[in-house]
Amino acid sequence: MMINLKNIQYQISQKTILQNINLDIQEGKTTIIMGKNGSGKSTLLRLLNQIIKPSSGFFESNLPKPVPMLFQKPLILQNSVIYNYQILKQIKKHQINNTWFEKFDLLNLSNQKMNSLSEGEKQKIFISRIMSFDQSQLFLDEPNQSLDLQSEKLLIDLLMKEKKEKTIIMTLHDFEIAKKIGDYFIYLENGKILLQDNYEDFFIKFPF
Amino acid sequence: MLDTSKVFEAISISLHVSFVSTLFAFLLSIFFGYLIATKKFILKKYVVSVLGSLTSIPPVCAGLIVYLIISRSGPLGWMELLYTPSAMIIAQFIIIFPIMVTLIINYIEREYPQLRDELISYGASQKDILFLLITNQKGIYLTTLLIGFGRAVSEYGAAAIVGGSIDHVTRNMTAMIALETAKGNILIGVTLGAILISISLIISFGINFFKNDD
Repeated sequence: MMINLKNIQYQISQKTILQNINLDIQEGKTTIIMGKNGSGKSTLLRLLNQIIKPSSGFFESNLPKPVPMLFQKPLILQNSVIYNYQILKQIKKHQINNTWFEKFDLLNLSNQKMNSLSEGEKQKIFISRIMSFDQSQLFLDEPNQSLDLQSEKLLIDLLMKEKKEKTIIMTLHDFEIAKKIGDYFIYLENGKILLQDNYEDFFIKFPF
Repeated sequence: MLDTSKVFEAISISLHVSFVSTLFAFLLSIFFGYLIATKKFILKKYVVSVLGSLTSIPPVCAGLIVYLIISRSGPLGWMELLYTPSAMIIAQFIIIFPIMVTLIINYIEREYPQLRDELISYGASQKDILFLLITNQKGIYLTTLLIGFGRAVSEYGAAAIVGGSIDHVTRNMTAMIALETAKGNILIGVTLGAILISISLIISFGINFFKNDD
């Protein structure tokens, strides 16, 4: 067990976003959080990464503090691509791994301004930025958003390699991608877990 | 006959007073804007609301308030600020500070939560977050600066009440336009008016430039 949640509630401005969340995140597994827009997926992911604290309930994590995660609306710095990519290096003061930056073929965009890029190109930079830092846990909020089919396929291939040695927790809308990558699945509706199970049982029980 | 030395003097007084009031208002707007936007405190809603209301304070009223405070019988009368450029700076500050701080609060309230969450996940310190908050959208700050300066330089009522339009000391462009036009020296009025409009246009172009640059 890497993260353990018991009867977790999360409220903001007296509005309940998550309720009665009971969950075990297993180390070395890929956990996929699914659900409609506004179901609480991103909030749950941020809570699991300790960016936000639960309003009540029991929370236990092996991670001492938050790790760099991919947000649904990532930080865009009004500067060059390379500045946006290397900002994590500046803050963390670590050597970075350029594999994803090169695989996504972003070297030729290095000196361009972020606001001149397409949404898909930006997303590839944001993913590469997170992947540039060697960490054994990945928190990814809809990593495939805005990507074209070819880039999405590359993302899946790269994540398939990563999952062999890392714990991945990600939100996704696409069931086909979820089936390819996931080991454990959670389906949220109105802030509650409607269903959670491993690959075989989840898709048998899944009623939609 | 156009007395160019008087015109240049009025321009110089206007620019000096407006520059200093804008600079003070800008620095304090960043400081208080950041504090108000990022910290939780009782009455926060009311502070923001009052500042919002003060953005449209009539300049003559701001001038009147400053006058009552710094006049000989006022609480700060002993400082002998009335009819000095310092009094004009204070009056302009009162007019532009609410505008500038409200713009900065709005920007930080919009950007800060997302920026903070992601930067916290990167292990950033509060200093890193503040640095990126200020440097990431330089255009917003420059636009705020230009809006404040534009309002200060074109303001007449407050500066006239507390400055007194004293020749060589507090007679700025707007005071000189009013005075010379009243005296029938239309040429000086028109010349200064044209210069003031040019400054406003330059500021407008500046604001658009920074908007596009972002």
